[in-house]
Amino acid sequence: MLQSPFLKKLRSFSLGASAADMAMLLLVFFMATTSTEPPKGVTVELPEAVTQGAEQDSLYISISKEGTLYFDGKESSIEDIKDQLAIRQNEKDRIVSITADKDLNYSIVANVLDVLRQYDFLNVVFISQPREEK
Amino acid sequence: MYWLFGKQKSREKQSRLIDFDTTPIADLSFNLLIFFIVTASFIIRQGVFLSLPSLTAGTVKVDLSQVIEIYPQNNGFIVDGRALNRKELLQYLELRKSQTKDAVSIIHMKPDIKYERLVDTLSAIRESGLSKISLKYNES
Repeated sequence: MLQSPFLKKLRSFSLGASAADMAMLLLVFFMATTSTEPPKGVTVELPEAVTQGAEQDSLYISISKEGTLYFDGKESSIEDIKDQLAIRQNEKDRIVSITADKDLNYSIVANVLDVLRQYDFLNVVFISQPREEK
Repeated sequence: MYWLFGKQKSREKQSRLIDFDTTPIADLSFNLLIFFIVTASFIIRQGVFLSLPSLTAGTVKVDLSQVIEIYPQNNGFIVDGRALNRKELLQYLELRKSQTKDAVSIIHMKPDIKYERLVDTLSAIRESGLSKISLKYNES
């Protein structure tokens, strides 16, 4: 097989070391950015339902039995939630996970849903515990 | 002659140090990387999904025969003026689904009704196989 003088000058080399470096860097990145637990706001008793898996990458609103609101784990008023949603207008496609106590009056949930509609966050998931029997 | 031999020996030593095999490290790192990528998307929470209507969404005309109006109560459901328990509601919804094409369920929620009743109603509707849901808040 004929080889040009340029090709003859080329030498084979191993990518082993750089591949290891790259893999290690990616590994560190994933370890640093992976969050395994959603932000905790308040402990609530969840309602039961036939459920689907909820995405981890969502905004979290928790509502206690007394009606106290938590946004991404921090206690917030409805006005604070409005502000947060206004800031996050480029994240409208994200799912909003509502974790509310099962004995909470619907009026409080209705207010939150109303705010979400106002700010165009339309994908909602009501976090529940899986129902055993159908 | 001795100094020549000694130089050769040290060169051998140097080349041995340079030939460190990095392949197992790369393999191990990639295995760990794949593990983290797979586990990062692990689903850890469960829930009932609902898509809210946009404020700019228009009205939809629905035939009255397609509409199923559900009034959740704190101890059951009221549908078509009848009090039903969960099992009966599920049977009723499955029957309506088989009879009516594109049936629409309207959930009428009152302020004093517990949140769990909404989730339970949404769950029952999903279980029956109906997909079109409307949520109405009756403030009075």
